[in-house]
Amino acid sequence: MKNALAKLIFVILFSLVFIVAGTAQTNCEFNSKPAPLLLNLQTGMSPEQAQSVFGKALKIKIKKNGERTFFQNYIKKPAPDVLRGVRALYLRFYDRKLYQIEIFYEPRNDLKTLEEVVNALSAQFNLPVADWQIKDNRAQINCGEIALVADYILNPRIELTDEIVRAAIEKSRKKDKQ
Amino acid sequence: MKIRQNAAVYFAMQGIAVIAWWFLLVFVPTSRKYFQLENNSETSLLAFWLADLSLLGIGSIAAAGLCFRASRHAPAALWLVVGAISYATFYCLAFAWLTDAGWLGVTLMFPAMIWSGNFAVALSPVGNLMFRQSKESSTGWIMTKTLIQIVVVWTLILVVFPYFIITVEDKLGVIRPTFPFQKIIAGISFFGISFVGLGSSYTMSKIGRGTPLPLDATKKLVVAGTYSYVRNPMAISGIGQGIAIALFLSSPLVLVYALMGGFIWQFIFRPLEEENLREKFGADYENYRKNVRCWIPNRRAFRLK
Repeated sequence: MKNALAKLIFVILFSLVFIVAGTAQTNCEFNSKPAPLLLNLQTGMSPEQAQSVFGKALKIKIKKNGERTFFQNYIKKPAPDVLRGVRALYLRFYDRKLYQIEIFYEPRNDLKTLEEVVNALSAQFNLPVADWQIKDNRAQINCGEIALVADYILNPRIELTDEIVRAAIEKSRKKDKQ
Repeated sequence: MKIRQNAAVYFAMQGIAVIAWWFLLVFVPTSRKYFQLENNSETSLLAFWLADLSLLGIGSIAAAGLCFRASRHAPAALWLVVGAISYATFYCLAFAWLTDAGWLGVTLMFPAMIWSGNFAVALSPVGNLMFRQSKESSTGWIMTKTLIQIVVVWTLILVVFPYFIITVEDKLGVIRPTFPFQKIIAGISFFGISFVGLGSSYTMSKIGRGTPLPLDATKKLVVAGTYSYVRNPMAISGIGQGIAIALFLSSPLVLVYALMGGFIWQFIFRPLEEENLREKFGADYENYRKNVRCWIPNRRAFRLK
């Protein structure tokens, strides 16, 4: 009887661990779910794939070595339709792969505070709002190798980074310096 | 950067200071003589208790809470406090002018008004309006605008404000320490640091095609002249000029005023300006920021590749 009870408790605990782990995994879907707030871009895209998102609105060129920080702003000129509401955009490539997407938005009525930016991102990526770490007016959520950051200094800004690639770049630059 | 957190800390301290000041007035009646607005009556000072405690004391603490929580109502609360403190400051200044009393209160209220106002501007949704690029125009016209700005701003911050400050300092009886060759050192320092400011303004207008005023700012990233050694030579020049004036006048309060300008720039406007430059100039600015410090000049000039 005691053995049966112990087995039952073990099975319940084991199931709970799996449920919790499974739930945690379903939160990490940055790459598999393009979101409008990130202009439907994803990390890992090639320059050609990123180009296809924008069509003729942007010309994305990278260096022969596969690296480039692509930058475009729409402060003095109106943004094309595909980039409506975007004030400035950084796309960082390494080894011909997009590893960081950084977008500054024009002021929006629905994104007036950092909290509202976090809520909008959580809704688009199906992320739990409670998992965001907010410090110094900067919100960050890490999900596997991906980090999503939002802040609001002058305008709403979001940044999606493949942390593994970023760490590799830093390591390679340190090596080059030495 | 942490403008909102800085604002939260500042307004919390301001609120606590106001409440503590009223505790002092109530429980240490002898302290009232330093603040009273009329030589023979405490009534006009003590009549401020309700407005002070509610709008400035509790108001500042509430504004701090809203800033800390990054609430969308924070700017409204900040402007309420700014309105209250500005009204009180100007009222007390006018009163002190009429009665020649209460100068200590005025001296303490002015910096509070300036800090509160700057935080309110920085945290209001007017950020993009503060930073506008200059319209295309001839070099001569850009230089003329820059020259007019220099004359107006320098007259205000280096002549008019220090004059008022030393007038108040005289009324408060603040001691002015002196040392040998002080005025000569102050004069040489002032002209030396002023050349840095003039040179930076010239480079900014000539190469950047804009003026030092953020409302009429450059179109191009300027990484030449003094800017190739340090990112903000104009702020360094302005603060240096203020310190030189303080030295020339032997004025501790003018020194505080000059340093306060530096702190306001560092903690309130620098984060906004740097964010604006990232939006405007992209990777070039990031490269510049990574290689050139903001306050301490590099030994070698930096050049963008």
